[in-house]
Amino acid sequence: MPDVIELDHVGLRFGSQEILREISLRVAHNEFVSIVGPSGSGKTSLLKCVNRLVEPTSGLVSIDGSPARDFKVEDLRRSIGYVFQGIGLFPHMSVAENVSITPRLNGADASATGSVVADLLKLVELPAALAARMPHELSGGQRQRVGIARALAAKPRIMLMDEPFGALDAVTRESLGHSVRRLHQQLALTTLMVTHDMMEALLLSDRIVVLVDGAIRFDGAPAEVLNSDDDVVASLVAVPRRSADRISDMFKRGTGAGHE
Amino acid sequence: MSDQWFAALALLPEYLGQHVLLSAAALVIATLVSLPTALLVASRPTGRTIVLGLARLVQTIPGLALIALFYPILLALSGVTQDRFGFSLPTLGFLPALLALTVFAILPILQNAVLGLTSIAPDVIEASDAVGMTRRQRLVLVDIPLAAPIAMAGVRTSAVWTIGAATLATPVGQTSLGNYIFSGLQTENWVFVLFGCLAAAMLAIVADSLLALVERGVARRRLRPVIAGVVALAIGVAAAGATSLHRTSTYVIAAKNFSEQFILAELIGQRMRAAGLSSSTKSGLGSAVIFRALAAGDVDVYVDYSGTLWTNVMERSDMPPHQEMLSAIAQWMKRERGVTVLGSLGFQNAYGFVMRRQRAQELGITTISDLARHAGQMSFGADLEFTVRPEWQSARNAYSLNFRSIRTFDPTLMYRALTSGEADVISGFTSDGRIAASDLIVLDDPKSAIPPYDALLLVTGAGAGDSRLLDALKPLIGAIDIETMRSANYAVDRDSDKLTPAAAAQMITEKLTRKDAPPTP
Ligand SMILES: Nc1ncnc2c1ncn2[C@@H]1O[C@H](COP(=O)(O)OP(=O)(O)O)[C@@H](O)[C@H]1O
Ligand SMILES: [Mg+2]
Repeated sequence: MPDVIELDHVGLRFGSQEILREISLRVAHNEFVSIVGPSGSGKTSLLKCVNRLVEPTSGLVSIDGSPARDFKVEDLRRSIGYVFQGIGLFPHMSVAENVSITPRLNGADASATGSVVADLLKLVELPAALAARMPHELSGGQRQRVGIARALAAKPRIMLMDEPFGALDAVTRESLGHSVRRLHQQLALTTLMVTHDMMEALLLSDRIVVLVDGAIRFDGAPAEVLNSDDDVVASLVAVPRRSADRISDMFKRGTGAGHE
Repeated sequence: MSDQWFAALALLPEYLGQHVLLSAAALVIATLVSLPTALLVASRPTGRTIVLGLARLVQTIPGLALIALFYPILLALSGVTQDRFGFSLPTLGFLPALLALTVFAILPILQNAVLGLTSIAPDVIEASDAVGMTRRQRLVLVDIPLAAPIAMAGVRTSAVWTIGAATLATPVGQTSLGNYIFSGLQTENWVFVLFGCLAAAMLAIVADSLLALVERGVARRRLRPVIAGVVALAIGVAAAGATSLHRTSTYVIAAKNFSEQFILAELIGQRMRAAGLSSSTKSGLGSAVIFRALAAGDVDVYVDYSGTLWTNVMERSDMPPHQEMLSAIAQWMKRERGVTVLGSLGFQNAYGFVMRRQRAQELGITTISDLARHAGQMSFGADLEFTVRPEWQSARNAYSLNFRSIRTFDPTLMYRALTSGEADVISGFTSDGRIAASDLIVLDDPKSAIPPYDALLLVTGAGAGDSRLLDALKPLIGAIDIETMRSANYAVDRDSDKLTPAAAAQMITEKLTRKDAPPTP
């Protein structure tokens, strides 16, 4: 069985600027892969090569073993869920209309989408009453849940997420993170998520890819990340590691059990 | 005072109806042109710059000039269509006004529509692409709905501008609320000016509120306010259409933009009505425009002056004896332009040298020759154009006029300067009502240096073969003497107790019928 997403020596240039160099990456069915790296390292560009929001200048992107460029571009995008930091809800459409946009683009008529909307809102843990609201009447967290529901509406097998929790507060991030991981499991998705937050990547993913200057610097399981002696990877892990140590210290002292 | 308000009110259905039709037509066409153009250029920066630049350029042309410009443009176009396809375009009235206002109305709509289409948030555009919309689906589902409220706001702005600018349609012969303003300004009838401004402002407010209703509906995607607003607007336009439908007049009378012309147009209209002929009046036309309109058949009848026809239309500079000139004019008109000169009304409205009667008597001045002997001690007041007109050159040369000083004045102020003694002699119009009212005299011109300005009744070639029209107009020939015209002009021009041009015309009609009636023993 071919891998769901496969990038084979993918390169991308904007004019003279080389954004992605020789990226080769395979994501297996139901795998959750995070892409981590400094800002400007090409994470978003890499993700967009998968649903052809960006066309690579060289190399090959394949979906389920078929070259992505052989699909009609709209069909390809409709079959892949895409969630990003900006969310991009259509401000003139209600929550229900936003969520049901992809089925409607695929030809479903508005009356048939009612139950689909209810199911999707339930799936992303939003009350059904929100269906009639307009996007500006929602909180940031609710908005991103609607964004996720919209991405799931066409029953995609692939989810692409570009810093989906970037603009949210810590409590909301954590609860949304759980939801995303649960949906990944429940719907048997194959997920490729971009984040600049190593902690989030460590907690959610099966595998972490570190991107530096448009090239893959590291590719491995979370446990391997923690043990890597690569200096860039080590620096990305340093902050979460220090925080985790400090907090566990505090817990130990607080419970009085930590005296050596 | 209240008479003037009633007189203004009586004209409202016609003026308002025409104003609404003109503005609505311009706005609808401008919208139909702007929206597709905006869609076409919104994603093309170069096209956008060019189109918006053009629209902005048009906007810098003053409204009045833009409307005036369409007259020669249509005249030239009409020549082409006449040669190529054998039909001519109307160069006056609705068409030039409509075209100018449409061009004028485009910018706000176009600008707002382009703004709406280009200011869609990048996140929303990214989402449209990511959910797999085709270019066309994005246009229909995202771009147009998001740009619509902003474009609608442009339509509103444009509607307010258009309704204001439509008052400027009057000088090209399209009736509008501007008729109140132009005739009011000319006759210093401030009630008319105020009434015209108020009516235009109210119309703009009503249209704006209804369009605001539509705009809100579009923005909130509520059908009911949109329908309510559109229906109300449609009813308004339909009502305007209805007022102009039953007004199918057979003859068009024209008037230039001063009191005497307004009165004469009313007088002609009253004669025709009495004869059972229906007519409409295009008043406030430019001096050059009005003759062309008659020659082109857009106007059936109006009064022009022999001197104007001689120098401006026929472009002659020689000065034959009076009767010779009149018959030369009549022949030339018939031969070259197919226009018939029915005859002179009986008075002249010529340029003349005007003095206070008392002062002229003291100095023993009755002619311009007498004046020339005293000119060295005299100050001369002229209206703004007199000193650059051929009449002045000719009089100065013929009589060797050499004034101590020459000052130019606005006509109203010029008469004040004369009566206050600030000026000793002024350039006046011989039929001006203020001559009799202020006890002034017009000096004789024994050398005939100033061309005669007989008021001539002109009709189109078609009109000349129309016996009902001729029967209605003939009694006016030779029937109005200078005193009658002066007192009618004065009744309209004076500061208090003003008459409307229609009432002044009525005054002349009454005088004529008294004359016609057999003498009572
Ligand atoms: N459309 C584009 N045109 C030119 N340069 C671009 C474009 N999109 C991204 N880039 C450049 O590519 C590089 C990588 O961008 P991006 O993929 O957004 O990085 P990341 O998501 O890791 O921050 C950046 O230097 C950015 O300026
Ligand atoms: Mg990015």
